[in-house]
Amino acid sequence: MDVNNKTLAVLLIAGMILSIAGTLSVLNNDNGGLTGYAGSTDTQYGTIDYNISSNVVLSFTTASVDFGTGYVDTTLGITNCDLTTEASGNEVGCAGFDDKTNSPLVLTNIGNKDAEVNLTFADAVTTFITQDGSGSSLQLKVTDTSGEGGACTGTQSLSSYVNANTFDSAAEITACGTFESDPSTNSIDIDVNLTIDMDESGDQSISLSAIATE
Amino acid sequence: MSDVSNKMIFVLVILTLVISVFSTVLLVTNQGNRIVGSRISQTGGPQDSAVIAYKVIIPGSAPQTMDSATGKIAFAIKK
Repeated sequence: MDVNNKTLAVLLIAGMILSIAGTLSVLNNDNGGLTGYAGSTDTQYGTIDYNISSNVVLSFTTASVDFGTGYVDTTLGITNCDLTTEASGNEVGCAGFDDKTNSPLVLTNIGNKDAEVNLTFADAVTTFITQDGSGSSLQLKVTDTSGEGGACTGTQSLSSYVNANTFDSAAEITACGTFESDPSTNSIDIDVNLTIDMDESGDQSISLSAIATE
Repeated sequence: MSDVSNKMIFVLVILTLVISVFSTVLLVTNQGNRIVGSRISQTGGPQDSAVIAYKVIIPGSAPQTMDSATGKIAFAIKK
């Protein structure tokens, strides 16, 4: 089949028109088409569509305080020992227990939204320590982690030591009315003060839960 | 357009190739600017837990250590 130059020229021009029309059609399609195209004669607007989920995520970056093994040293005339995660008051009347100075539980808001944080022991504290007024007690206190001032604001029911039996058996207490999510101020220390009476015995542990609500 | 020379056909072919390459470059370049339906998410949840523990032993069974200076071993007396 012979094809003359005229036919070829018509086909080439048609191909060019189709190519240009197709390109412009794709670039200007608003429904899932390409965006970011800058028009030559007027302003064109691209679409940037993204969705950042709102997350409230808590994490105990220090999730354990183990005072170790020991006993009340009654040879000193003392009937209980005082263990704490704070810098002062450790191991008065205690023998063998581990020193936990400056090692509180550390809770961090690793989400992207401020939240209220409540603490609770799922179990009764009496399963962990007698806490019957005989000299045994478990107390907690919440403060901003050093260098992260302002992490915990609003209602702060644990700004000083509070007996744990007031928020055990799933009863909650508000540690922070607002727990910041800003990475520079999003950590709090939970100090533990454990007083063990000479009558306590056994291998004991208890789980503390931190619960955030928006 | 009754008489189209070979030269004219050659020019049109070259022009078609240029347009084709230009269109391809334009499409590929703009594809990098498209951000549709992206999502940033984190794993985890609004709750976490920690553990507080201790163990009380009978004093007489406590591991004892010797004072290296005096050579004496201190024992606690069980009541």
